[in-house]
Amino acid sequence: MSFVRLIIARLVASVLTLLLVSVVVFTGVQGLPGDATARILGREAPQEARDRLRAELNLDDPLVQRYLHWAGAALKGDFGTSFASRQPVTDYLAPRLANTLALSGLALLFYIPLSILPAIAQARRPDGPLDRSITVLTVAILSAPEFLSATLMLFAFAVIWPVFPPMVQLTAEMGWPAYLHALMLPALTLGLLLATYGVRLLRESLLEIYRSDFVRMAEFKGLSDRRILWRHVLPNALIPWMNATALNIAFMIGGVVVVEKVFAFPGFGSALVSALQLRDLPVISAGVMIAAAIFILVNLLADIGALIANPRLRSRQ
Amino acid sequence: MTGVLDIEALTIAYPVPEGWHVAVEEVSLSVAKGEILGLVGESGSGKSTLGQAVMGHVARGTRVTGDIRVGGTRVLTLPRPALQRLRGATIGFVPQNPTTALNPAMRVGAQIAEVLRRHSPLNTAEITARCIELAADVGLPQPATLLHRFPHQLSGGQQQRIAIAMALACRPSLIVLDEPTTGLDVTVQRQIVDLLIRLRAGHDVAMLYITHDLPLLASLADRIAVMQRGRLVESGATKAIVQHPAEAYTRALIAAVPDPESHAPMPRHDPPVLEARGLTITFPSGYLRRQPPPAVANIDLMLGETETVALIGESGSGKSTTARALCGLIPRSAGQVMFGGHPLSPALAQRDGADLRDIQYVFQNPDASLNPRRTVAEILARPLQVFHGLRGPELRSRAARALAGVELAEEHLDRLPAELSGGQRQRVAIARALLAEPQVMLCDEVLSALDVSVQARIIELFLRIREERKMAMLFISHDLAVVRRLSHRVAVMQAGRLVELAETEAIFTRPQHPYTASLLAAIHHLPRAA
Amino acid sequence: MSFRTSTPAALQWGLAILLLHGLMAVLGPFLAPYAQDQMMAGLPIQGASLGHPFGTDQMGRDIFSRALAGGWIVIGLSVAGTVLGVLLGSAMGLFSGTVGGWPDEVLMRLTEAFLAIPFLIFALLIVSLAGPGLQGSPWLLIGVVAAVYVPRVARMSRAAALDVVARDYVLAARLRGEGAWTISRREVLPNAMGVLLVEFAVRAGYAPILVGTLGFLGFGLKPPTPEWGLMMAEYRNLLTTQPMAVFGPGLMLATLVVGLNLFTEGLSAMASRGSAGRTP
Repeated sequence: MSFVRLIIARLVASVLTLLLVSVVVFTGVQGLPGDATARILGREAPQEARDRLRAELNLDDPLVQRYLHWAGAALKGDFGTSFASRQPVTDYLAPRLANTLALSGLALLFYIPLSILPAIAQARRPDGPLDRSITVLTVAILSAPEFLSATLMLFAFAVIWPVFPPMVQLTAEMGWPAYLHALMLPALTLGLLLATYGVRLLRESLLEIYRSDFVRMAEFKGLSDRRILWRHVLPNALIPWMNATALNIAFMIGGVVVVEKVFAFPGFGSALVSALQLRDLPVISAGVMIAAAIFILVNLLADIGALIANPRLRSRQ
Repeated sequence: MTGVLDIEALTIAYPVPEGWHVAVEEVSLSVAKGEILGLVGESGSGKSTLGQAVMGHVARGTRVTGDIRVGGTRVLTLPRPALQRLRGATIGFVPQNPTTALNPAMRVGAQIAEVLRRHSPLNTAEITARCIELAADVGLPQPATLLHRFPHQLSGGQQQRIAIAMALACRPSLIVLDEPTTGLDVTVQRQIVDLLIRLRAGHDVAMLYITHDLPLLASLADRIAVMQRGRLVESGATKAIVQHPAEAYTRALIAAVPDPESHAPMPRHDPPVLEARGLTITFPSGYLRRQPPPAVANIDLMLGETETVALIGESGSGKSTTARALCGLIPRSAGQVMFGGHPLSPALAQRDGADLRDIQYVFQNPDASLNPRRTVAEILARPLQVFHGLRGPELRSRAARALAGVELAEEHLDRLPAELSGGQRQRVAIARALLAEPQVMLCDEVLSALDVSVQARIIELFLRIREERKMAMLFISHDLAVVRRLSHRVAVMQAGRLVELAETEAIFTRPQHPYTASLLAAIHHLPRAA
Repeated sequence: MSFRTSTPAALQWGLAILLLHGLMAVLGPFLAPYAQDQMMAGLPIQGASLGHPFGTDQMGRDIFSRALAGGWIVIGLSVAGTVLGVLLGSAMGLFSGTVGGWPDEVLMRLTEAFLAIPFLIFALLIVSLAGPGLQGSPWLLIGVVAAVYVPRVARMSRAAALDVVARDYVLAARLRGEGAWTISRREVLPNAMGVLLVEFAVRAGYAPILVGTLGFLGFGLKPPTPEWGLMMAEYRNLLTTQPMAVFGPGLMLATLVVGLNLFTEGLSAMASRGSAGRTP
């Protein structure tokens, strides 16, 4: 299959998945059997409040119609109105999403060196002292729940050694430097958490490539170890690592929630969590859809990236 | 005695749970300047381990004693920087599998250039020129454009030529070749061997050629060394070894090579039991692709009741696909298959039990065709249960008899496949097929994964079974010498089409189609003693 | 051929830690110095001391005793949820992979849709939608863990099934006319078992983190249940003055997961070694 065709096929598949997710989310959130109003407001809520809610949500309309109404509006950017704040959902979520994206972007910047450099150091002398100690460290961080590691980071850098503020406070008037400074600790934490997966993966990948036939062949050609690492091993190891990184970004979407809670970061994750606590259905629907859409998009980019990076698929046979 | 390569009392052992496994034992040999030494042995002979050791590579934890000297330098004790300067410059290496030995992410020209850049004082322009020169030397067409390609864009033969170019680049005094033609098609094998003969004349380089293929060495090597289970059995000039072997093992090795000059079985004239007419198989493509050409196109094939028909061709010719369509594993796109006079459905699910029983299929790789979690007894019980409805203790006794029929002892019944050798596993697979008591047996490259000596015994087995059971066989192979021994008629396939079908003797002595002729020309002949 | 002697050691260490946690979970409530809900076991909000290794909380309860009492909760919920998820998921995946065709396609599309929702958000979503009646119920948490795992395990076991189904011995079984059910039972399952066991161990290793995170975010069990994640959230305000109140339960959770991870690593190393005789 030609390159362009492959990409189109992936694109189509992603759109279909997104569509399917929207059906699943909508049905789950707004279409469950039983009295939705009781679930939202609680069983003790007065009847007239429930009737009002019923009318507002058009709960008496058939499910398909409600879905189409919701999906149509969503495509135009209108996700309805939040129950809790009476604000349009989009106005509420947009700035939060921007914050979280900034946080994630910064975290990714930390993630790249934090995962590549230790893995290379480990792969050069497998089972050596450096390799073992890095493995112990990564296993320790991986085993600790994210909220524990985040709390430890908070404790270390905001309490014991107060380089950063313990709670993130973002104001509209902050300049970029202050904004970045406020983001630094949670971003570093998030990057570190992600890196623990990346290091293990890249190490495995590197070691496997070191065992492969063409690396042995490169050795038999008498090439220097440095050339073998940079021109033979790394280019081939980075491709599966990049793919796995993209998949780990999915984990990051969940990890962001925890980090935002620990650092009291006003982001998308904490908005979604409070909406879930309050059963603010429009925000929940919108939030879950956006999270899924981001995940699908990242996967798509990862697949396309893998296609581009793989010379086998780039050029015709 | 300083030849290009001197090996003295080399012993290599590596740790296994039970102690030490000695891969190479007290081997001494040498290669003189410009000479080709062929190192031949079956699997487990230690020849590859020795080849790698000559390159200075031993696995971690391995115990090595003895000496390897290349041009006087002791390879095994060299510190790594010195070893890396020796490799590529003084010793070249040609790998067994060029597809995996080339960096998939680097253009092939760059892979040759990096050897030059590392070991020679040439500048970039000179390196490029030399790469083109080398590419032409090894017979690659349009070197300038081809060198810009990635490995996967080249054929297997072209990839191996690149590997040879890489080995020759810095004009080494010795090249180690580790089974360089084993994975290639027969005709391509021939081309590579011819290339090596030509190169040796032009480059004055010594070669250590490691292979299991003795007839190949007869055309190529000046001297031959024979290894068995780590020991050097015999060595000497090629003609001497091949025509007057001194040791019993060498004699057995030569005897095991089917003599292509031997005569084929007389043709049969039985009524047909299995017949294909206009058989066509096209694999469906994905959603967005155009319809690809058929994998198998319009095959007319007939198998007599007690006849063995060989189906030969190179990889991609469609012979396996044809066999699988005949037994129903893959659906055919067009054409008819008749068995015993009645038509067979293309779908496996619609064939009745008797038909499934009467046509048996034996796979190429016994590692994959036997369930690794079941004992031999359980594996053999299946056809008895499914096809003959047997139960209880009779299963075991029938299975034991089946094993005896393939010359295996009853004690193997309780073993797992992993505990058997390759040859034993294939015998179990054959026994399993025979237990169904079929009328037709489809054998798909059943000998290819086995050592030569094991092959010879299984061929004898087939000859005996065939006589006893009066069974028809469709025998797929790429090994022409075996085919000549075994089959009454031969069908030649190329790119999905049947290009020639005739009695065996006719095919071998008077081939009509040019492709058949090229296949025959690719066979190496062992010049036997008169 | 060199041996990594650290691998059996990983298994041993992992097993040791798990046994320790198991003992603590079972015997803890009896051996604890104080009852877990005993108020004013000591002066309130005191830091770590010999009598109270993790300190005391706002109501004077001994935090260490509470933590000991919470062990079996985390372990029980994690194991039950994982077992349920793995059983359902592997049955679905194995069947889907063996049967192929339309049922497989449909199942895969659905699974992909569920997998597109990040698992933590998915878990929170289920808890939220379950309504106020079910919140805080351990059955809900078990269901949530299972629901998160079912699509993931299904995908892995389907891949394992597809891998086996392509092997020649399965083709040989098809040539005998055996049906999909017989083949999945006799040929696929025994060979996919190794993968499934490792999958189970890996998922079981993460389950405590999932349960703890739900508790930390307030979506798990309700106070005064001494669940470790919940406790860490409850004592957040004490972080600056008595860090052990927070890190004590956190360390308990972390060590449990370390034990599970080591055990898993040892298990998967043994599984791959055990198949050394198989097709390379």
